[in-house]
Amino acid sequence: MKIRRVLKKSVVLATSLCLVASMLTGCGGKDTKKDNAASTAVKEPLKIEVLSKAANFQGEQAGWFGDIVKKKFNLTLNILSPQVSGDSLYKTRAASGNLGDLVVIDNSQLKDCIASGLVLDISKMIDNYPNLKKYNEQFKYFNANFDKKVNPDGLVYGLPTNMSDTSPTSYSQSIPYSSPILPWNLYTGVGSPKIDNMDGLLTTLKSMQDKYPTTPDGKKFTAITLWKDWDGNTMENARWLSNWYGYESPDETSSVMLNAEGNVQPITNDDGIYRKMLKFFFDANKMGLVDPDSASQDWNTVSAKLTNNQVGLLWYSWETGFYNTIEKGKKKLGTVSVPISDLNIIQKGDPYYGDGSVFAIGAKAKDPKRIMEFLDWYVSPEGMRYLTSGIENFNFTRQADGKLKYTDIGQTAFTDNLKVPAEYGGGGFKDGQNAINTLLLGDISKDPSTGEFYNPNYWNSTIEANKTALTNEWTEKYHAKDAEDYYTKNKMIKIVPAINTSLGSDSSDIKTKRSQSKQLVVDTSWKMVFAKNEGEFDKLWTDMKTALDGQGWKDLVTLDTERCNALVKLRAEATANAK
Amino acid sequence: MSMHVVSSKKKKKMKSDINDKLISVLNYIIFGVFTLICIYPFYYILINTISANDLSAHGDIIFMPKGIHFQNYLDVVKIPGLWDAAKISIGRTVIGTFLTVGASAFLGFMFAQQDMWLRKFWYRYTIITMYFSAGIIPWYLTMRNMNLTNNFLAYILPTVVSPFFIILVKTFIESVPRELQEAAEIDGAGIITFFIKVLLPIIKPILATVAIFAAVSQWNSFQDTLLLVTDSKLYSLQFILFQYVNQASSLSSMINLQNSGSTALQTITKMQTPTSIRMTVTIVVVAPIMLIYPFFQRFFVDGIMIGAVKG
Amino acid sequence: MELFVKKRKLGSVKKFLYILPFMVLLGVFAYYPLYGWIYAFYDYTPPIPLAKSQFVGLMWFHSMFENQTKINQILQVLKNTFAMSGLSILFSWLPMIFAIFLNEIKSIRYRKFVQTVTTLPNFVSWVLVYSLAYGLFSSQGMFNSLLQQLGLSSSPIMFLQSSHHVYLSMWLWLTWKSLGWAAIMYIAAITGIDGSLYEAAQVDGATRMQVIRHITIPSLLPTYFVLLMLGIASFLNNGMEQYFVFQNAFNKNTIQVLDLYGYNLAMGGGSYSIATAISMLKSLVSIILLFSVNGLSKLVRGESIV
Repeated sequence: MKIRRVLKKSVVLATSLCLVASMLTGCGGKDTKKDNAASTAVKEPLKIEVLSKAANFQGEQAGWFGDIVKKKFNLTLNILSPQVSGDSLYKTRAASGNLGDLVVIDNSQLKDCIASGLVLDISKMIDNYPNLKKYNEQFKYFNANFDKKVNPDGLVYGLPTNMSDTSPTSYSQSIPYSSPILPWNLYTGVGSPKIDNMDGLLTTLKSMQDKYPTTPDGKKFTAITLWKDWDGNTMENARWLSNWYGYESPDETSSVMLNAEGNVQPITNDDGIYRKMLKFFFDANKMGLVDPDSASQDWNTVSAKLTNNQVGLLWYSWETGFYNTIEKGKKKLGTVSVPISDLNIIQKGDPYYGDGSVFAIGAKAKDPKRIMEFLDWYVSPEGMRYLTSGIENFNFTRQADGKLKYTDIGQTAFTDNLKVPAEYGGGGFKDGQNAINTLLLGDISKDPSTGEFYNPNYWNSTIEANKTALTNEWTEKYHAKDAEDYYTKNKMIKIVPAINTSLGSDSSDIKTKRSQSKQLVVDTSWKMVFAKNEGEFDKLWTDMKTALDGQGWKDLVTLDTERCNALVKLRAEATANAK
Repeated sequence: MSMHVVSSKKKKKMKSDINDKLISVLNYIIFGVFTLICIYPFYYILINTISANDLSAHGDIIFMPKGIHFQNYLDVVKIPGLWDAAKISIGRTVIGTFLTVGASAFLGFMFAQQDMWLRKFWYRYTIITMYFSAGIIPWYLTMRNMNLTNNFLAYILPTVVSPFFIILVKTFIESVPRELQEAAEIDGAGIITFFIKVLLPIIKPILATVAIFAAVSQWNSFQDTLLLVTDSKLYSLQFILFQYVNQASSLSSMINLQNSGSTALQTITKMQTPTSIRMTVTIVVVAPIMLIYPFFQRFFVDGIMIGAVKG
Repeated sequence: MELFVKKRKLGSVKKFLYILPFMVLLGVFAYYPLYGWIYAFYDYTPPIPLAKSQFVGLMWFHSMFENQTKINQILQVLKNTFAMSGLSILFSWLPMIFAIFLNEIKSIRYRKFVQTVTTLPNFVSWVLVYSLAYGLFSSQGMFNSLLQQLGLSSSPIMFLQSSHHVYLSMWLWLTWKSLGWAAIMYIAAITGIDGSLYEAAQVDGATRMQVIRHITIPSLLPTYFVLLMLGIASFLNNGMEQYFVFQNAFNKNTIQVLDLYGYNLAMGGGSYSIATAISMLKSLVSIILLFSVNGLSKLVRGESIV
C-alpha cells in the first residue's frame, strides 16, 4: 500500500517534469522542418546546418546576406562554429556521425572525414553547375593529389577555400605577407637613413626611439613590441622575421625551416636563421628597444598600441590597417614598407589550389542538390561581388567604363556597421555579413564584368582614391608602385608556389613529441630574448638543444625533412606545369 | 558578596569591555579594507564601460569616468536574439534552481535517515560522482541517445542531483535534534509530511544558500549549450554574450592567416576593443544577480534568530 | 517481534525507494558514460570510429613517464599542484573565520553591505581578472607608476613575469576571488546554531571571544570538516583557467599545475585519448584520497564523513 503511494508520488513528479518540458520544447523533439505557408514558388524552405571552422558566430544567418540566401534558395543557414563552441563541437559531432549538411574543415580533418564516410563524393555533380564547372580542374587536381591512401580514386570530396584563378606561381598582392614596415613620419624624422642589414635596422630604430620617446598624446613609444598569443611551434614573432631572409615554416612541420632553393634547416641550427632572429630581438632588448611588457601582454593590448602608432617595427602586411587612413596619409602619417638592402624575402604564391581548408557536403545532408546550387552561386560573379564587396548601389557603384568604385557609404559601411536599406534586407552591414566567413573562390580572382580582382583594395578606383601625399612620396623615393613591385624589381623576393595538400599524418607518438618540444622551444625563445647577457643567451640555447634531444627531437627533424623534400618536389612540379 | 570579589569581577568586565571594543574596531577596519579591494575592481570595470572606449583602452580611466556614454550597453541590448536568450536563461534558472533545491533538500534529508536501506552505499555512490567525468564524447553521445540534444531539459536534468548541495543540506540537518522527527512519527505524521511541514522551515538558511549557489550556477553556465544545443531558439544568455565577446577578439586573432587579402581583415583593426566588451558583458551578467541577491541574503545574514524553534 | 522487524525493514527499503529515481538519474548521467574511458586505451581520433582505431593498451599512461625529461616535468607539475592545493588547505579555515567575524559586526546594514560586496569578485571571470591584473601590474601599470612617483624604484618591476612568489600571488588572487562566496556556507550554518546556547552564555557572562571559541566554532566544525575533506579529495584539481591566463614563458615552470599541464598537452597534440587517460588517473587519485581521509577521520574523530 505504502509502496504504491511512493510510486504514485514518483509518477506525479515525473509527469510534472515532463509537462514542464513539453511546454517548452515538445518533450524531446529535435528540430523538424515545418512547411511554411509563405514559401517561395519553386522550393520548400530548408534549414541547413553549416559547420564552419572559419566562422566566429554561431546561430542563424540573419541580416542582408541571410535575406539574399533566403530569397534565392529559400535556404536558412544555421551556422555552427568551433571557434565559438570549441573544438569539442567538431569532435562530438564527428563521433556521432553527422557533422552537418555543409562543412568547412581543414585538410587534416578532411582526411579523417573521407576515411569515415562523413562527406559526400560530389565528382559527378560538379558538371551540372555552370560556375563550379569552371574550376573543376583545380578541384580534381586538389583531390587527386590529396591523400592517395584515403582517396585512391581521386574522387572530389572537398572544394578548396580561397582558390585564386591566377596561377600557382604568381603573387598578386601589393605587399609581401611579412616584410619590414616602419612609421613614415618617424623614419623621415631621423633622416630616412639607408638600412643595409639587421644591425642597421637596430640603429635606425634606436634613433627613432631616442628622438620620439612618446606619442603626441603622451603614451610611451617602443621600437619593438612582441606578444605571445599566437606562438605555435616556435615563437611566432621570430618565425615571421625569418621570412625576411628566405626561410619559412611549412605547414605540418614543426622542427625545421625551408627556403626557396629547397634547403631544409632544423630550427636548432647554431647558425640558422631562427637563432639569428632571436639574437636580433636579444640585441634589441639590450639596447632598450623591446617593450618590457611583451611577455605578459596579449594581442588586444598590442592592437591598441598599433592603433595609436606606439610601435616602431611592424611586419605583417595587414598591420598597416590599424593606424593608416586616407586622412592621415594626406598629412604623410602612416606605416609603410621600408626595405633593408640585404633582404631575401620568401613568399608563398597565390593559393591557386586553395589555402588549407575545404568546403564539403555532409554524407547525411538533407538536400545536396540545393547545397550545390548555393555553392554554385557562391562562386558566380554575382555571388562573389556580394561576398567581397557588398551590395551594388549601396556599397559600390558601376562606373561608365564598367569598373566598380566604392561609394562614400561603402568606405565605412563595415567599420561603422551602417544600416542597410530595407529593400536589401535591412539591419547593420557588418551584422549581416556572411557568417560562414570564408570564400570558395578567393578574392584574388578576376571579375569577368570588370577585368579587375573582386577584392576592392585592388580596384583601380580604390588605388586611385588611396593615393595620398604619403604614397606619392614613397613612390618617388623607391621608384615602384608598391612594396611588391619594389622587391621584385630589385630581386629581393622569391615566390614559391603555394602547395595545398596533406604531407602526411602524425602518429600519436609524433603528436606528443611535437607538443612537448613546442612548449620548450617557445618558452626558451622568450627567455633568450630577455636574457641578461650573451652568456645566458648561449646557455639557454645549448640547454634547450640537449633537452630537445631527450624528447625525441631527432625523430621530428627526420620526419619533417622528409615532408619538406616532398614539398620541394611538388613545388618543382607546379613550376614546371605553370610554364 | 564581599567587596573584594565584586571589584575583581568588575575589573574583569571592564577589561573584557575594552577587549570587545578593540575587537569591534579591528573588525570594522579589516572588513572595510577587504571590502574596498573587492569593490574597487568592480567600480573600475563599471566606469570603464561608460567611458570613451579609446581612453579606456589606454588605461586612462582609473578613478572617474571620462567621456561618459552608454553605447557599450546599447550595443549589447541590440544583439540579435538577446531577449529570447534571456528568457531561456531566466527559465532555466528558475526551474533548475527550484528542482535542484528540492532534490538536494530531499536527498540530504533521506541520507540523514540512519535506517535507510544501504544508506552508506548509496551516499558514497552519490558523492564520488563529483570526482570523475567520463569525457566529452561519451557524455554527448549519451545525451543524444536520450533525445536531450536541442532540448530544454538538457539544461536542467543533469544538475538536479548535485552531490555538493546534498552534502551541505545533510550536514545542516544533522545539527537538528533527532527527537523532532521521532516526536512527529509518534504523532502519526508520515516521513514526507514531517519533511515538508516541520523540517523545511527549519533548514531555510541552508536552502537559501543552495538556492543562491544553484541559481548563480544556472545563470552562468553555458558549457552545456556549447555542445548540446544547435537550435538558436534555445541558446542561453551567457552563450550569446560569450559569443559576442568572442567575436570581437577572434576577429583580431583571425588575422593570423597567411593568405589574407580579404577585405574584412583591413577593417578589423578598427573594431571595439575586446576588453571593454568583456567588461560590459560582466556588468550585464552580474547586475541581475545583484538585484535578486538581497532576497536570499535575508535568510542567512540576520544572525542567530531561529533558536526558539529548537526548544 | 517478527512483524516489528519486518515492518522496520520494509520501512528502510521504502525510504530507499523514495530516492531511487534520483539514483537512476545519477546512474544515467554520471555512471553510464563511463564506458567512454575505453578511449584511453586506444589511439582514438574522432571521427574515425573506435573499431577502426588502434588498440594501444597502457601506452598513454606510460608516455607520461617514458623518459627522464618527462618525469622531471611531471614532478615539477606535481610540485606546483601540491603547493597550490597545500596553500588552499592550509588556509581552508579562512572562510569560517570570515563568517564568524562578519557575524560580530553589530550594524546589520554594514554587515549586509560587506557580505554582498565581498561576493562580487566571484563573478569576474579569470580572463577579466587578468586584464585588471595587467592594468595594475604591467610596466606601465598603476603600481609601477606609483612606485616611480614615490621614488621607491627607478625601473619598473615586472610583477607578472616574475617566477618568484608565483604560488603566493596565485593564492592571493584565488582568495580575493573566492573568500566572500565561500563564506556564505558558514554564514548560513551560523544562522542555524541553537539560540538558547547563546542566551545561556550571556547569563554566564562570557566574553565575545569565549562565545566564539566555545559555541560558534564547535558548531561550525562539522561543516568545516566535510568541506576540508572534499577539498583534500580535490587535491589534484586546481582548475586551469586561472593559471592559463596568468601563464607566460617566465613563470610557466612554477605556474603550471596538473590541470593546465593536461590542457597544454591535449591542446598541443590534439589527442582526446591522452586527455581521457589523465582524467582517469586524477579520478582514481581523488577517490583514494577521499576514502583515506574518511578513514583517518573515523580513527581520529570517531566520525566518518562519508
